[in-house]
Amino acid sequence: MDSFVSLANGFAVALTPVNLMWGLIGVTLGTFVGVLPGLGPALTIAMLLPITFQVEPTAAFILFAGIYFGAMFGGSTTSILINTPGESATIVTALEGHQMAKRGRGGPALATAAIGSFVAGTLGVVGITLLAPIIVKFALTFAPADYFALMLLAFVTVSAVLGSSMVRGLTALVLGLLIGLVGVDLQTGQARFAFGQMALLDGIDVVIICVGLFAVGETLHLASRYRAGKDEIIPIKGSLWMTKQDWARSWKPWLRGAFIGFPIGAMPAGGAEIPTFLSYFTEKKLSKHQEEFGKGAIEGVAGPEAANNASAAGVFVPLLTLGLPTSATAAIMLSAFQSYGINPGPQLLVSQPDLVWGLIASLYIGNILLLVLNLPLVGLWVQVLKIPTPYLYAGILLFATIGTYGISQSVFDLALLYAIGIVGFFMRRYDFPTSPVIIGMILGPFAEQQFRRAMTISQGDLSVFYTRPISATLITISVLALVVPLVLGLLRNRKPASVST
Amino acid sequence: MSTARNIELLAVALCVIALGVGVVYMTTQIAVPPTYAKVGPTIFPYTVGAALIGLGAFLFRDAFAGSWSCEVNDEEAQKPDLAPMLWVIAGLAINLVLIAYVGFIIASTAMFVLVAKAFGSRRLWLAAIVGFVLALLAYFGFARVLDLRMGSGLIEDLF
Amino acid sequence: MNRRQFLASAGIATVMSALPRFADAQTVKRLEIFVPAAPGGGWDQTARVMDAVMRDAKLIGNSRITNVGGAGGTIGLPQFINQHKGDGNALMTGGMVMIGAIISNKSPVDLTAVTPIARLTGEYLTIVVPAASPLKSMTDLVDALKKDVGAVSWAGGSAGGSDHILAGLVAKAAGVDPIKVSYVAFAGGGEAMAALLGNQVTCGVSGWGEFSEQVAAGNLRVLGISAPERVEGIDAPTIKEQGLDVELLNWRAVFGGPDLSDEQKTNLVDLVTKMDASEKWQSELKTRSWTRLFLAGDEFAKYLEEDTQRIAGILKDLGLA
Repeated sequence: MDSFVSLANGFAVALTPVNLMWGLIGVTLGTFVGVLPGLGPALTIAMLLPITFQVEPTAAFILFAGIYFGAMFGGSTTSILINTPGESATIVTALEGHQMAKRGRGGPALATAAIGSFVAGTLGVVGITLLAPIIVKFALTFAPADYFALMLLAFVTVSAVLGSSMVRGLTALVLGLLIGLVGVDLQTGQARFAFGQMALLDGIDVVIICVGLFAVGETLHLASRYRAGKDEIIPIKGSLWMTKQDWARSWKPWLRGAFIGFPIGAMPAGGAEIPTFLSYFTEKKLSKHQEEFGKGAIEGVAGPEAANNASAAGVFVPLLTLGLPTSATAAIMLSAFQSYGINPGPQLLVSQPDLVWGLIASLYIGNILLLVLNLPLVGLWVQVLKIPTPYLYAGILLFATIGTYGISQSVFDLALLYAIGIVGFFMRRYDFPTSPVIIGMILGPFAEQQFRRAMTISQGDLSVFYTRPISATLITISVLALVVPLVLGLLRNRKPASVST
Repeated sequence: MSTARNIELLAVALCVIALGVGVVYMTTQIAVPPTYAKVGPTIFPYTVGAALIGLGAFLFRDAFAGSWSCEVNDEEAQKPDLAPMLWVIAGLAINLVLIAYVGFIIASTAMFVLVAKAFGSRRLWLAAIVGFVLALLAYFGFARVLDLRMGSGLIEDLF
Repeated sequence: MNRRQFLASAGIATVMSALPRFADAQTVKRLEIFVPAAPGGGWDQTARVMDAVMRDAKLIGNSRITNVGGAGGTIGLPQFINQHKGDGNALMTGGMVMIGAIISNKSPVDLTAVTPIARLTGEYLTIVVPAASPLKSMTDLVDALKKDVGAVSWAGGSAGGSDHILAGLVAKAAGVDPIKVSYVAFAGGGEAMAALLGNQVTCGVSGWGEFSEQVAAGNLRVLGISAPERVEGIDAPTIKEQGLDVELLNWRAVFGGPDLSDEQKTNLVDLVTKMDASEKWQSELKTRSWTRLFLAGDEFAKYLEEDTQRIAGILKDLGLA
């Protein structure tokens, strides 16, 4: 019950008109940077850090939290409407979301993303309020071996996006793994596949690959075909809003997404991408409309979007309870704490209750502000599709350029972006799916590093992977998820075969 | 199905195999420091290289057997329309060449016009205005609101 | 030298000597601060706080901060060298980490190309163990290392970074081969701390600031700090007093461009010295718990040279250089 009293106090702190204004500025700015490819919440907050010289802590954190949630949401808008994910966490949204938009259902896609984000974000904040200590204890029991097992489970989800041919899907995945290897190896400090280029030592930014493959690749591909009149986008067909059936198909994915996203977001090496992959895989397996996946299934938007936002809430759990930043954005927020002379740690709740509960309350408020801001905007956003094709695609390339060049001022990065775009064009031409590249690129380095950490700690003893309960459980689930559909498929194929003989 | 098109797919499969061979070769060049690490920095790269070679072989089989269906051998799909593609590539290239010298705003406006041209825009002067205004707004969003430097350039230095 | 060349160079010399004098009178009108790291990190914050303090004290008129991040500063460094040759109005932030990065990334340029201005702050590193660990002191740790080096796992930042260097120094002082140290590198974002709190590793290395709250809460225990003597406000024994001759300072400093004239250099040293003396800087140090370790001009240049050699040596011992 204590939590509720404290939370009420938190609302009293957050609900002043000035703080509300900061919240509103935050979600608006966040939505804006989320829409721009390449520009994410971490960078935005970092650039706004000097504001800590001027405003009091509560206001600054309310602003930052608004930016964080806003950006998570804004990224999905461009994924859905123009197949240009602004962040790696919204790639999965593009899969079904853009297919919906192409079929004139951009409105419902945006709406289910907005409401799903709200539902999951709110559930996540409830989780912070009530479950933070338990979740954190659970997250800390994850050893490198267990993380490696979690990565294996995430790799299984690739099967949901492999497309029409397993060989081509896997080739795309391995290509992603290869890109993920570029740069200095964390464990030994050796450069790999850097071709002597300093610019490659830190590896290739996933945003460059993402924007290159999707935005630039798609533009080139459309350029090669638009005169044939193919791939026409239908601006709007039917209602802008969700139908009864859309609601019926969305609410369960929202809840499942929230339950997948929140705990993984709270893990020190969880991230926002893995829960979206897992959610998409789950929805595809559970859906009664499997045939619609790949052609615009609303579950494939609702689940991952919810998972994305719940993981954003999850990130606050270790940040507020232990002072552990688990994402780039959280790390920047930590340095904001420090510039106020506040050291987030186990004592933060005791030493700064107003700040912590004010921040938690502002997360609730931020979610509501986002919904209020974005639902009416759905109609406006959909108009983006009415922009004449030449300006739309020229504009997409312009914004892709800003996202890359604006941050690094590196012509090398820009050249890389365009080159990846050309690769993306050929992948479309030869029917290689593009999403496995991104999945491979994100999961590969994670899996490799965790595997090698586990092996260094165990001094080369492989048994850590099956003697630890968490790791053994996760590996069993991954094997089952892979094998069961295969066996079922074999059984199903056998019957008609035996009939015909 | 024409044989010429099949050759294109066979070439793609060979490229994947060649990439795999390249990866394996480059992995042999990675220095393995004589350290504590039980699993060195080369095991994953070798695995990736081997996987690419193996997958390339499967792709080769698919291409050979004609079971690789895509735009290339789809009878209904037209041949790729080269002219608009070249306009887009020209736009990207001009941006790359110019951006370091004249700045983001002018370089990206030039790209905007060429890409608009690729997608059939006839009033290029209008595209130039739209592109310029968009680039200017974007620059200001970055430079002023976020205090990020977008490099210097002819127009950028006026402010 | 013919007559024309002489006149030309004399003319340039006059102009050159006139410029810094002008700048001196006006302090620095427009200061460029170059940060070879992405926004948000330590070097960036140093730049932003310096900027705010110097403006506040009217030491500079106008300023601009540029971030070029990546590869431990080795991507930004060549750019700074190219763009600010002989430029008396530019400073670059940086630190000890850069030395290691330059060596292990085989960077074509190093810190001898730029002009050392001043060391500003620094942080000593601490070695901690989870509260449940049987290790109580550095002596216990040394015993464990001697018994089986491989069984002692160390959590810290990337290989070849300051944390790894300290692990290597401790192993060497303990008489075991640094190459055999089981060092587990974690990316930023608190992963190393999580491994410590979850009792997944034997010990961890990082700056005191990162561990202080967890130590205060009793979740972690400090075995030693890499300072020459006990540090005020930090309740931790030094590694040195426990019989291991190990010291390491993760310092942050500012550098000027290459080929500065003596006057330009003096001017920048003065500027930073004035900033360091200002009240606002002192109060910022306090709120951010940065340890002031001011060392300016030639003294800093000498320190830099010595530290570079020491780090190159230990990286070789670790098998990384």
